[in-house]
Amino acid sequence: MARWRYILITLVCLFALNVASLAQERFPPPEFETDYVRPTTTMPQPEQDIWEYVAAGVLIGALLLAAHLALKRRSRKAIFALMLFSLVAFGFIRKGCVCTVGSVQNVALTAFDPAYAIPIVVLIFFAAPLVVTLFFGRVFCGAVCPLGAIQDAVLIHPVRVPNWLESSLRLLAYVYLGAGVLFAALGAAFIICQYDPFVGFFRLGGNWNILVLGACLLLIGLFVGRPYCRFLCPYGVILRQFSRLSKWRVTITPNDCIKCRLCEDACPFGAIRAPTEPWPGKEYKIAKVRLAFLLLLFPMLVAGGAWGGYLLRDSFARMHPQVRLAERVHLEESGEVEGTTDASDAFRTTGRPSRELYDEAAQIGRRFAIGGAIFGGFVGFIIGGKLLALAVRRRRSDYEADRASCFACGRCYEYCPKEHERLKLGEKAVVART
Amino acid sequence: MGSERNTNRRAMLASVLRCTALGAVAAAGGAAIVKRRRLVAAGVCVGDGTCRDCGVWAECGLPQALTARRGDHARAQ
Repeated sequence: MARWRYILITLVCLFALNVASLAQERFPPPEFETDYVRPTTTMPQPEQDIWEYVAAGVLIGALLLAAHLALKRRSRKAIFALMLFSLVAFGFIRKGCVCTVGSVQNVALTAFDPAYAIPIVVLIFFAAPLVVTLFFGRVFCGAVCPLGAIQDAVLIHPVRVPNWLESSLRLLAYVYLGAGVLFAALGAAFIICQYDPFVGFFRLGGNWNILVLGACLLLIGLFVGRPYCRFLCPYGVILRQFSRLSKWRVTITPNDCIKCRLCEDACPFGAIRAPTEPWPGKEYKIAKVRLAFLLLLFPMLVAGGAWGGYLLRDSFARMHPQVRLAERVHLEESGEVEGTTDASDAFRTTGRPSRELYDEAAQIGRRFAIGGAIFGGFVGFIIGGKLLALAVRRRRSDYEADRASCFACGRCYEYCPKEHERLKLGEKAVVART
Repeated sequence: MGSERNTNRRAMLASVLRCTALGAVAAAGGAAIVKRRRLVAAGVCVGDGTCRDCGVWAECGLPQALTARRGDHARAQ
């Protein structure tokens, strides 16, 4: 009850601050026609580069510490403390920028734009969690990511999401990743940054719609563990695949599983998998037929997705500012709209002929046709792959943390009687290897 | 026996894929650094700050971007 009260007070305070910032924007400042000359505003100097590298160093240190706490020390309290530190350091102090999740877009732009080079610090923020995940699993999500930390901190009454719903909603993250890469690679927009739901909380102000989105996710997060991480995070999608290959991994029990089932409902993220029963003969035959059908369906899904993406090329291209500008200028010149916009006025002052702008927009449109088809094919590939994965049953003899879904938060340790025994005897835990 | 062989095979496959993924991350990182150096050598302005060479920096309303932009403007004056 006390925790409820604390969370509600925090949310109310955050909202009150944002309402104040919104109120400031309600009315435009009046234009006084007097002799008053506005004083020159003095601005602080840009942040020194050294602090960027310090932040990168802190990130690497936090990642290694998280791996130690999750796999070797197996302490939920220590992981929680590190998570709060990360929330303050990378969230409120650094104001959520540089963000590892958004760095995916910088990487995509570097790959496709010959005139763009990714800053070294952003590269470190992108690559360091991937490398650590390849060795220790998703410890970044569990203790270092500020977006995960803010959701984990408000989780008070977790409810179990049915497997079918979890699997379906997870597809959204793949679509979001594909769209984020598509728009970044073609220079249209950094949508992952634009729709970052928690950055407004870290800055105690910002776009009202995004703040509402963040507040909704936090409200859902009171009952559904880390909804953004599980169903939307585009970087989490990459970490899921990397985590499957990790050299060391989180195990619920420090040694042998005694199948006491105490841990069964311990995970608020639905990452604990129960032992499987062998399939009855008749069911096995049906499953084989189903798998064959899905294998045949797979290329059709990819091709259908590619076709759908190609058809959406014009809608995708409108995300690009040059295409929007070309459309606007065309509408103004053909007299379909009255008046001008700042962007169209600025274009006319450059003296460039409209034809040039239209050609440029057409070229961007052609790129979006190819990009849209690849994006659609990717979505089809993911849906097909998901259906195939659901049709295959993996054998498990013990209760295990699913390597792709486990955030290495350490909650399940406390439920294991073998863990309590280990702590009582002061034994060291054996870190499980692949 | 068969199960152990399967486990070993799976572990070996995971190990190969892990090394491949590590190699890919290293190669991509290296390529990004080489590209950055090439652009700098060619005289293309590549600031060291996070925002300076960000793709959306010109329109970004984040505090760091505003600060960096105003800093640039002040220097130009």
